[in-house]
Parts: sequence; structure tokens; C-alpha cells
Amino acid sequence: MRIWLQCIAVCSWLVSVAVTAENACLPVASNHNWLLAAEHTQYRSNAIFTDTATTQQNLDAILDVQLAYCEWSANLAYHQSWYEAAPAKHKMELKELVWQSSLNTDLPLDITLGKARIDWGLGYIYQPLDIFRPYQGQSLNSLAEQGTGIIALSAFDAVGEWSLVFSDPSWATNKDPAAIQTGSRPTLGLRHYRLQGDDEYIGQLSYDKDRHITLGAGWTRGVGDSLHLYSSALWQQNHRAYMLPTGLLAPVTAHKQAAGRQFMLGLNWADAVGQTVILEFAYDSRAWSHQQWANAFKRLDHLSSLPGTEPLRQSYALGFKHQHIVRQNLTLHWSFAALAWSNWHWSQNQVWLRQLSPSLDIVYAPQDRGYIATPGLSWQWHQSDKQELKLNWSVRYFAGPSHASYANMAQQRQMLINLTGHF
Amino acid sequence: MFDLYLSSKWMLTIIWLLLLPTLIQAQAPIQGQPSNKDIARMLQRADSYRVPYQASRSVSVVQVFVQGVLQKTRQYHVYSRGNGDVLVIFKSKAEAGQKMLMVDHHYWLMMPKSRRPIRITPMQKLLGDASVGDLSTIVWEQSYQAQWQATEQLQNLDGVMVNTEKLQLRAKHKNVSYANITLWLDATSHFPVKADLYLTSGKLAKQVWYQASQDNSQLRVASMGFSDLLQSGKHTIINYQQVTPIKLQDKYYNPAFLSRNALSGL
Repeated sequence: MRIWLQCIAVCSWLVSVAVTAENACLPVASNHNWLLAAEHTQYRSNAIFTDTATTQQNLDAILDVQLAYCEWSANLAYHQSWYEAAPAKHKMELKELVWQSSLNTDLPLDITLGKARIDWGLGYIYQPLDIFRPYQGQSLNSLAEQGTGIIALSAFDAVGEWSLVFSDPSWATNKDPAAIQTGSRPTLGLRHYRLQGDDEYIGQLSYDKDRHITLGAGWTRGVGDSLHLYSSALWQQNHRAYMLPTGLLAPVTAHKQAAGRQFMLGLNWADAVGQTVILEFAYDSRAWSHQQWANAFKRLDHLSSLPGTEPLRQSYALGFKHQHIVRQNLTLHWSFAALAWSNWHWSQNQVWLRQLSPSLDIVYAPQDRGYIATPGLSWQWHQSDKQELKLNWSVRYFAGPSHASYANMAQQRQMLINLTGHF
Repeated sequence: MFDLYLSSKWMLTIIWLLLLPTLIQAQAPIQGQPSNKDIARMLQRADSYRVPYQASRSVSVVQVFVQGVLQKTRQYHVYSRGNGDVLVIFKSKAEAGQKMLMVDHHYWLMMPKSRRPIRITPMQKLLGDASVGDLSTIVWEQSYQAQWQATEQLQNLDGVMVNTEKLQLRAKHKNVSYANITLWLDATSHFPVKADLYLTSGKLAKQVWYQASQDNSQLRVASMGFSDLLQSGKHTIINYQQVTPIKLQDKYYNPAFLSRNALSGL
């Protein structure tokens, strides 16, 4: 299948070159993003992660280049990492190489061929409808993610779109940590989008060998000048998940499961002062339930008292490898626009404040009261007509009661300082 | 006592007779007050200076000043569908790849690293870094209900006294950025002179002064100067450098089309 897709990509390139020879194109456009990030992680030691508590420092440098020429676009990235206690690594990635064009047929069809990222999600944090290799939304330190092999046909009118997409995830060379649930097989999907008055509607259907049939729907509505409401849901015929063993002395292993359901409800609110609030509730039946996590911790407590059970206990770490760690999540994002400091007399003359934007993200598991909190500050260091330089600082805490799943993750605390630039 | 009663009654009658003409005058139409048809015509003319073609592309340059110091200059290509829908392509190197779409008072923003547009509220549009939202010129006549208020003399930015018609505009739709606008139009040409833009909360958000130029002997808005009253000390000037009639296919105003490569060449 992959060879077949690659042949199509090469053929489309030849066709587009022939077409390009006849039609004048703008010169090659390029955009460059770079990132220099220093990260410090404090790991915890518990029944699952049995190493004594350690820390790790690493430094990452990424140069990301986007190129566009006629109907072609490409995204390349060079990534270099230095670790405190391991040899440095580097890699070059072709994240996207896409040809998009309109077909001159009776039907108004648009075509997409190549390695591309297709995002069918809705909302900001939880995106059940994003079925083609979804974003890792909680990542502190990422630029664009890799595309998959794509053949897509789309029909657009003034307010809607029908699209038929074939996606082959094997084209992505980097590993998706939650691949067991995010779709690692070629997928065929059909989607309809429609804008109707204040509302947007999405309906989608897909098939792949892991999930079999998936059915999804989404909706969003603007309410007044400050609020958006949105919601989406996905049902899948099958799913894979890591399951707790029936016996105490057996490890956690992956199994094929019956239907899976995901649901998300969110709002996005902004005020005239400059505050933005995003609040999302998400439910994912594929994650371990509160009861399953409680059983897991009970077993771990028991296993900890037995000698030689370390590998068994470590297998429980697979519970953290699902797309969502707990079934119910409530997420709050708050940010404050830098220019909004001019709202108050005391801050109006503090020019330095006008470059500073604070933010706070909290992921809360209502069933076990575990949480991940990420306060952050963003400093617009330099801004000109041709380039931008931004310094970001954030700290992430994984905490909660002793048997909360977020309080038992490998990471206990992370601090990140990064410098991002655009030219 | 009775005399006192009679004299006070006479006094009241005299006061009533004296006030009567004033009361009658207050209820009669003010001399020179335009009819609703005239007000609609005024707004249409005012719009024609801002949105001169049915469907067009304007090359706009935005300069952002903070405390009087030029912070940045940005260039945008603004495509108007002719019905109020607007597609903004960000052309400056620092913002390359960004796009904003306004359809029927709803807004979407496309960021360069993203592969789908995000819907933003009209309030988030206002809080944009370079007042990009104000590039999406709303057709007043379509979006607002106008009411004539007075004929006023207004001193423009050049210090010249201008005779103006003062109009009060109230939004017909609930999700426009500015719920109310106080608008001063030149009394003769109905060219927009000044506008005060108010949020739904009643807060004065921005004050705009319009500058005119002659383009092929046609009077048109050449620039708009926005004083931001939400972010004090911020002043934005939007210059329209080039306006040409161009009609894009309908799909270009479809939010789902924003991620297509075809928009990069606009």
C-alpha cells in the first residue's frame, strides 16, 4: 500500500510540474521556525516506577522549515537533542510533502496527495473526531507533528465540504506513544462539514482494521460576542486497550475490546480585558475507569510486599499509555493577553509588562482528584516586521491524593524554558 | 383664601399658555431631520467610500503605535466578497501563513502550524495583536440600524471645522464586535469623518478617524486611525494602498477551505 501511495505521489509531482510549466507561479515561499528548549524533569519512585527518584536535564534544538511553491507545500525539521546522561541524538524529518489541486471536472473536486497532516478535530484540548494520528495536545515542547500518507478528495461549496480521505499512518517515521488507540492502521474516512447560521455541524464515518467502523459527530455555536460552545462525540466498533490481568501474578497486556465511546463538551470565553478561558469536559470509555485504577493500586500495594515482582509492577505503567489516562477529565485553560496590562493605571506605564502574557492550565480528574497543573509565562522578547522572538517558561506538576493516577505518573515535576523564533 | 386660590389658578393657566408652544415644538419633527430613507442613503454612501467594489481585494498596511512609538508594520491582503464576508491573508514575514475569515459575523483564524481553522469570538478578534479584526470592514448599511441624532460641527484631525450628520448605529446581529457605533458623516458628501465604537457592555472600545483620498477622481477612505481605549496608549493606522475588483470562488469563504494550499498564492 505504501509503495502504491508513493507511486501516486511521484506521478502527481510529474503532473504538477507539467501544469506548473504552463501556469506562472509565485516564487518559492519559505517560513522558518526554530526552538531552543531546556527541560528539567523530576521523576518519582513508586510501586510502578521502581527506580529511585531521579532527575533529568535535556536540551533540544529544532529548526522547522515550511516551503510552498504553486500547489506544493513541504515541511522539514531538523531536531538535535542533548541529554545529561546519554549521548546526543539528531534526526532530520520530512513532516509533510503535499500536492493539492482542483480537478477540472464537472464536479468541483479538490485533491490532496502526499504526506500530509489531516486534522478533523474540533475544540482545543480533547478531540475525539481527530482520527488520523491526532496531536499530542498536552506536549510542553513540540512544533508540528508528522503527516501520514494521504489520498483525499474534497468537494467544497459556499458553506460545506464533503471529503473522502485515505490515510496510511506508516508514512510517519516517529513513534506515537498512544498508537494502541490512535490508529496505527490505514484508515478510510468520509466527513461532512456544514456551516448553518450560528452553528457548525460535522458528521463522519471511517473504517480501519483496528477500530473497524467509527461514527462521529460535532457541533459548535457562537453565543453573543464572547462565548463559543462546542461538543463532539465518537463511537467506535472495536478498540484495543491494556487490561488488568485476572491473576495477581500476571502482567498487564493489550487486548482487543468491544465498542469505545468518547465525548467532549467545551466552551471558549474571552472578555474585553484580555482574558481567555477554555473549559472542556471529556469522557473516554477506553481509558481505565476509576474502579480499574483503584484495583490496580490495590494490587500494586500487594505486589510491592512480594519479592521479585518488579517487572510485573512495571507492566502497570501501560495504563498511562492509553490516549487518555482517566475516563473523565476536566480541563481549564486561562490566559491573559500581554497588551491587556494597559487596562489598569498601575500597569499602564510599565512597558515591560506589555510583553508578558501569563497562563494557567489545569487538567483535573474528578473521580480520583488527581491533577496536572501548568502555570506559564510568555515573554515577547523581540518583534519586528520580519521576525519574532519569544521566551516561554512553564512548570508542570503531576499531583493529587496518593492513589490518584496523575499523582502516580513517572514524572513528578517538569520545568521548561524555551526560546522560539520565527523568520 | 378664595382670591389666593383664583390668583394661583390664573398663574398656572398663564404658565401653561406660555409653555404650550414649546411643548408643541418638542413633539414636532426637528426641522431638517432626515427621513429613514435619507438615513439609509447616507449609510450607503458612507459604505461606498469604505467598500468601493462589490467584490474586491485591498492591500492594507497596518502600523501599530504604542505610546506614540511605531512598534510594527504589517501587510494584509483583504478579500471582500461584497456581502460583508471577508478573507484576510497575512503577508508580513513575521505572520506568514496566518489567515482570518469572517462570514456572517463569525470569525475563524488559521495559524501556520495548524491544519484546521479555529473559531474565535468577536471579542477575541478585537484583542488581536494588530487590530486585524478591524480590517474586516463591516458594511454598516447591512449590519446596523441607524438613527439620526443631530447636525454637529466637528473639528477634524487637521483642525478644520466640518459640518457633520451624527448618526447612532445599533447592531442588527448579536455577535458583531461593536454593538453600537456613533458615527459622524460629512454633511455634504456623507464621507465618514469619525466613529466611536462601543462594545455590548456599553464600553467605548475604539475611536476611529477616517482620512480621504482621490482615487481615479473617486473619493475613498485611504486610511483609518484607531485609538484603542481598551488598551490605552495603543494606536493603529490602517492604510489602504491598493483596491482592485476581484471575485473569488465561493469556496474561498468556506471555513473548511482555509487549510488549502490554494490560499497561499492570494
